[in-house]
Amino acid sequence: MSIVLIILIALAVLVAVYAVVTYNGFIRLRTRADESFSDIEVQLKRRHDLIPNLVETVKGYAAHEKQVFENVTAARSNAVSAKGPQAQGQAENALTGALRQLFAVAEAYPDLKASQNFLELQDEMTDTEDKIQAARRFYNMTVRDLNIKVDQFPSRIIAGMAGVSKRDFFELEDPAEREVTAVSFQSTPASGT
Amino acid sequence: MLLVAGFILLYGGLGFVLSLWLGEAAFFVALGIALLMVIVNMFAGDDLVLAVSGARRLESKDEAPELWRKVENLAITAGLPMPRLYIVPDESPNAFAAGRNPEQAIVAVTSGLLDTLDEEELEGVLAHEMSHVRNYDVRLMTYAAVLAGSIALLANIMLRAMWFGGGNRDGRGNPIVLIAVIASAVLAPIAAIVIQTAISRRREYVADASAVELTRYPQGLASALRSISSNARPSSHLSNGAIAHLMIAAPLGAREKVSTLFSTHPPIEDRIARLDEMAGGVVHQHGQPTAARRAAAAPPT
Repeated sequence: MSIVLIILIALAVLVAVYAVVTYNGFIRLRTRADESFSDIEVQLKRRHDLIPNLVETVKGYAAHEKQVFENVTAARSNAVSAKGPQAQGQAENALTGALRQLFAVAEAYPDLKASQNFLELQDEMTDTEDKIQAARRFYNMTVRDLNIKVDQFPSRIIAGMAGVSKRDFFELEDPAEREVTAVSFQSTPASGT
Repeated sequence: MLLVAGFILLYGGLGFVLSLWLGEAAFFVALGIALLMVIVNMFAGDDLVLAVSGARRLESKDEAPELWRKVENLAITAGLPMPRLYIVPDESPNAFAAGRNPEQAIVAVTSGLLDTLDEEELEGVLAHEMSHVRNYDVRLMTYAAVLAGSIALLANIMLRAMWFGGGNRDGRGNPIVLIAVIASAVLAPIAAIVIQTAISRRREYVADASAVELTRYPQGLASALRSISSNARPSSHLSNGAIAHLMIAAPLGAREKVSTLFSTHPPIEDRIARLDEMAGGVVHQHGQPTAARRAAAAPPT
């Protein structure tokens, strides 16, 4: 009788400890996901803030390329007003496309390409885009951990009770995506083989 | 975990033999000294490492923008604060991380590293160092070094005490206790070093793997390791035993072809092979070294 009671109490304690630990794990992951998402937004905002300046600079040399400027400005305001990982991701992708057009136009103006101001803005833009990628990777890693835990068996019960739900990944096309197509069977000079 | 248990076992064994022979007091004195070493290491460790290597701190982004940016981006990817950056004026390409927690982390690279590696390779090396920071490896290795050191100290005390005909208690004259003392005094330090280097080698593999998780580009680090090993030169700054275990690759002179029980790093060929496997046969094209690119990228105006 008493042994059964002890076993039951021990089991209850174990379950309680598991529940608390799991719950705290969820809170930690959720907070980290929120935090890392706002890190992405900081970088996105930096990108958006650069664009008017960039457009003005290009306008100074290529005033008649109106269509391109309009596209960029429209894509930017869409991106600024988008909410949530999915919508923001799509808007940012559209913005990236518009910016690519802008830089393509700039190619045709040697004076513009040589201007210090433009070079700095371009550099700043590249840096910001790298940082967006970095922040996005951290966010996605966190979301992956969270989503796995929300789906897995015993922890999903706790997730249901605590009201923790899955998050969306932040998808962007990666401008720095390495070109895997360039497979070479030549050895690099450093490999020494 | 097994390794930590090994240390505890060593300590327990050595302590047991020692207290059997000289009394508990001797064991506690030795333990006190070991603890002191831990504390000194905690507070002076980083400065010591930097002093030994002759590293110079980068105060602002403008001094080395590419390096700074790469570290900044990796810190964001890993969710870590930006570490302090140092450059070691040394031709041999190498890098190391220090600092007992991510808030006080230090990442140092040699000038030779910037002269040798291209962008992706440098990123791989920096990711490896950031992984050491993220995994608290520096703290782990500091503890391991202190534990191994204090075990050597304990053993030393035992051997010396024997010269002075110690053993004033019931253990005196007991041949079994005497043999146990000699055996443990000789074997324990060796065992401690074997454990310490085993932890070190293991952490290197883990850091390589986490670096790939950060950059998603295993061939960058693989190619960097090749460059580092083929361009390594003997270096007065780096071959100091105190910091050899912190380097991305064991400095020249401290390296063997085969990983022995006493080497701090796994053989570089094996690390490269593992990274190549992750890369799935895609080979990295060696580009322009970071330092040369910076000179070339000077604004044309």
